[in-house]
Amino acid sequence: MLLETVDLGVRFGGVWALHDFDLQVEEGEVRGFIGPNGSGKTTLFNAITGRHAPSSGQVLFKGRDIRKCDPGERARLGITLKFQITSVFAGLSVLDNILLGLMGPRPVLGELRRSARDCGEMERAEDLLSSIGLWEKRGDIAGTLAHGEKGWLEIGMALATEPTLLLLDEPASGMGADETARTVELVRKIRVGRTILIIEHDMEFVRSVADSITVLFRGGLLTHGDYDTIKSDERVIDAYLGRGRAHGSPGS
Amino acid sequence: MAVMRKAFGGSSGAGVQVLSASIVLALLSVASGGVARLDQAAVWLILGLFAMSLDLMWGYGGLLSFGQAAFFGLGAYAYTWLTTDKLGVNLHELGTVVGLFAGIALPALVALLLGYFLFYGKVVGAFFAIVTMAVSFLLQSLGMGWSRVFGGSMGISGIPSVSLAFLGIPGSTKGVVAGYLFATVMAAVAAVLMRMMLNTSFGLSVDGVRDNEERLVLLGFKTIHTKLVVFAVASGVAGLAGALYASHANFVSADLMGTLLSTEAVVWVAVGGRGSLIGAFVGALVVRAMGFWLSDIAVDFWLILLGALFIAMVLFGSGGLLGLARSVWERGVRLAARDS
Repeated sequence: MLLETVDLGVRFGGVWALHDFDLQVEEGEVRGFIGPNGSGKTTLFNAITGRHAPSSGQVLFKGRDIRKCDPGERARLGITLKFQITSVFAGLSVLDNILLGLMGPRPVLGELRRSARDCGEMERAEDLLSSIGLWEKRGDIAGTLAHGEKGWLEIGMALATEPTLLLLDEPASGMGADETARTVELVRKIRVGRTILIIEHDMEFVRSVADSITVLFRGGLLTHGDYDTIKSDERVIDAYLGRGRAHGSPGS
Repeated sequence: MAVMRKAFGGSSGAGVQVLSASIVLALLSVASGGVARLDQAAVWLILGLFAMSLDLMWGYGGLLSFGQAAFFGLGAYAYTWLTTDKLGVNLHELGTVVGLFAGIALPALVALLLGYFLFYGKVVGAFFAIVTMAVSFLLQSLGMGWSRVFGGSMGISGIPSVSLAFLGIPGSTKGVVAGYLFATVMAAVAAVLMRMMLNTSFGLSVDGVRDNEERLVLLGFKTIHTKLVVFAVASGVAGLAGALYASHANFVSADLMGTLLSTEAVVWVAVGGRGSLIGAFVGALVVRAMGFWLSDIAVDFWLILLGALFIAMVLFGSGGLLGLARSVWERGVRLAARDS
């Protein structure tokens, strides 16, 4: 078991944004997370990456309780996130963004002895940039990229840290059909040897990349299963559309 | 252009820029007031070095400090304590050189200690600016009150200038020309060393801290360490400037650690332009030189003009004078290209 949460709960004031949440993720799995707005998906991700301290329960990574680890420590353990609202180094070049990802976990003082650009990592940077389709734009300032390209750059940066567990919070949000298709392709390409958790509203996206789907509702676990099971589950349809309107499909 | 960019792109470019600015300032000073005017101009070079230390903090690390003078003043006092009888550890001629190093080390250590509590205490942004300003005010008050160590309201005078006798260079840096040359060399060397640091991958992580610290944390960086190093190095450079000031003026007082000088440094960097080192250096020279010449005409008028200049720079972009010069230059190049 790579990741496990036990009775996990996150409370904001009097509201439990997430409660009694049990999750098990095996190594190499690609898991989709769906649920209506406010169902606790991003809160769950934040509890896993350490941006929110859990109010109750445990987060186990490789069997180790990481509740007390801050986000930086968790990143060094191999947990990396692509934010819902794309977060790159907007003032730096595309290449520098990737180089920062590549140099991540090294001690600060060691960095004083090396140049950013000839530390033998240009090759890896080129590989990564090619795989996210941004090698041609390596000299551009990241802030000037198109929305989709920023998203891919952030995924590329996360990949540069060689994460064991990669969390993607709505990787295709705000993307057009063309960009979404390329993102699906990218996720399929990078899943080899990695465990990936994905929050996504686009059901077609989730179907194309995820092995199984976990559905959240009002901060709790509603159900878990493969795409077909989820799609035909009455409770899921209810959760999305409200009772008495059990027609149509989730996420549509 | 490509040739220029190559010449100014490496670490040595920062030194060339500082040397060029220093030569221009020397020519203007001598032309306007004779060789004796260099005595005043050397102070501006030292303050230019001080401004570059704040630029390292603010323009590169994104840490706006309103208390940078605290470290400038500590450097000046560290030098003073080792070269006078104030604390009974007068090292005389040797002290002038040891004092320069102490002037770097003491402020850097104080910054490490202070930074440890501030950064682990998650003090950021405006709060960081306020706390640093408070530290500057606190040290100034302490200096005013504790006359046995800081000289109180009288300050400490009779401080010797740096002697380079151990290098086989006769005499001290007290002479007007020698003092100016010494300040120039020290500012240029410090600029090159800072540029070298910024050109490493550590420098890239400093850019990352400024640009998007949370993203950097989630990439596994210990950004607190990065900020500590920047704070310590910037404070060490500020302290070096302070020690040079003590050596040059032969006098220190608690005001050197105070809020007025701290605030002035922020104005220099804002006016000169952030994030280039040379912009901050030139900003200090221009503001101080303009103040010197214009306050002869009208003191009040100058301060109002300086205030207006500062507000204009804050409102119309962070490029400052350097950014302005750059865009004028680029427009000129474009026009020339179109004409030809």
